[in-house]
Amino acid sequence: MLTISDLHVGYGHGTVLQGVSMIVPRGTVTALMGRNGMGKTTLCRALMGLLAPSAGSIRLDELEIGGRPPHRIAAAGVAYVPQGRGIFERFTVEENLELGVAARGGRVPAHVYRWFPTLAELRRRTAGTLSGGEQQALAIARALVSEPRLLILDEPSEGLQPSLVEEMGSLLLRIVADRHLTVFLVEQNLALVRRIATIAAFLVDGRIAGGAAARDLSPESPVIHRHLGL
Amino acid sequence: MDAMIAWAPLLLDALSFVLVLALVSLGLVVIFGLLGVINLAHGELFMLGAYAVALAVGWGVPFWLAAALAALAVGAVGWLISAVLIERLAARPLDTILATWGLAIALRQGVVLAFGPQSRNLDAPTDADVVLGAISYPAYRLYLMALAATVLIATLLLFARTRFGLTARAAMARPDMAAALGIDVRRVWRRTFVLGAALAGLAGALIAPLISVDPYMGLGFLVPAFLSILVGGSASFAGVLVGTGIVGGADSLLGHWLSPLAAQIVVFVVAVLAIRVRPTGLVRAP
Ligand SMILES: Nc1ncnc2c1ncn2[C@@H]1O[C@H](COP(=O)(O)OP(=O)(O)OP(=O)(O)O)[C@@H](O)[C@H]1O
Ligand SMILES: [Mg+2]
Repeated sequence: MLTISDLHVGYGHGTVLQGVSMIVPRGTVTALMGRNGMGKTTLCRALMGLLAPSAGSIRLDELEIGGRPPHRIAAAGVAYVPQGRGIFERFTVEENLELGVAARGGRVPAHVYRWFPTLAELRRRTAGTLSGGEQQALAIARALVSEPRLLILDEPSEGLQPSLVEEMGSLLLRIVADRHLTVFLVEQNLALVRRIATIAAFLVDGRIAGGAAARDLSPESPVIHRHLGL
Repeated sequence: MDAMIAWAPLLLDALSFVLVLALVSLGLVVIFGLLGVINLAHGELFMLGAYAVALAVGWGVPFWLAAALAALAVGAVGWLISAVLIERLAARPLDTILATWGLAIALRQGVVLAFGPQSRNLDAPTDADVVLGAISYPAYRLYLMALAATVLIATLLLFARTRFGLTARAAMARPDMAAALGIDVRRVWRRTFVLGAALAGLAGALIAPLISVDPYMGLGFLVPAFLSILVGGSASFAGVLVGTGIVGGADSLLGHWLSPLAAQIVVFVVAVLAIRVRPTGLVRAP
């Protein structure tokens, strides 16, 4: 589904990603793990078109999306839940969801409210007043209303208590099966990765340093020690 | 009662000035809010609106149609300015200030070259008076107030209630997130700039029969429009309207007793004091 080859991305001074290559197969949840500051968010932003790569390619199926503007990438079927959620705090829950469909027109599909029944109850609330868990649900729901093919999640578990992370994991599994969704999951939470991902890749110093079957990972695994340990 | 009769025309004059000024301020503030661009050429867009209506009326176009055409024409100029200048500089606030300042000079000089530096006068579409209880008041000013108020409300509703408004507010709050949701932020910018320009053009067209039209008339509205935004705050439309009410109202009323220059100095001092007390404006973000 998604093929990243030899991707270089930076911020003017110095490149952060120095030749990232990886594949996200269709219908899978593929995780990317790595320590703080390794460039995971930088990669997500480049995939979404918010940062222009200086070299390399990003292909969505056969379509080259590297360097295209974000609204075109969104139109090609990519949706993004950024780190920190990117909620429009002053807008209502409903307006946030409507923004997910604003570009292509139409209404918020009813099944999204079925996945997230609490959001249906909170429709008229100002998004900034929601709890962290509710805001994360809103960010994911907003990404899903456009019926994307590829969902990019940047550290969705950040700041959530373990029970909520577990709940989110179950829901994501259900949605992935339901909509044949492909997910690119950036995470540092091993429990969530083990639970929902098939494969985990590790980003170290701007390159992919290896991969592993997600279910084989444990806090004692040597790869985890090497790439995530302190 | 006599005092009422004496005051009513002054208050109506002030209100009509405030409503026209509000069109200018609103255009300025949507452009600033969305693009982060301080458009120093906004007063010249207003001036172009006045020239456009004067020209069209000169060609025999009925006034109200001419005013609508003037708004459209200035909107089209705005489209060009946005495409050629603003969008290329939007991330660089200082550059846009310099660029729009230069543009303002160019537009003024262009008008001087094309039409000469002298001022011209335009007849109102009607010189009838309407009797309102004990006073009689020019009908044109009443029409102007009704039209300006309608356009203001329509603009507010456009931003508050429509999908375009929602995407524009989203692009204002978090441009990157809006873009990631599939919104073409550049197109939203351009439409907003066109809208702001058209509002300025309409304001210029509507005020043209009431003041003398000359190449330098823009400044007389740009300065109070800026003061209004500073006093009221740029975070909400309510702030713009409150600020315009205070600045425009004071300017217009004081002008009856003081010389226009003295009135402007008083307004300026009051505005500076208000900004000193509430640096983010009298009306806070909702
Ligand atoms: N806007 C920016 N301008 C300049 N440098 C940046 C910018 N954003 C990130 N960086 C740098 O790029 C590197 C990678 O940052 P990035 O946010 O992609 O890491 P990350 O893996 O997502 O980290 P975290 O786990 O903390 O979210 C860091 O060294 C960071 O300092
Ligand atoms: Mg990050």
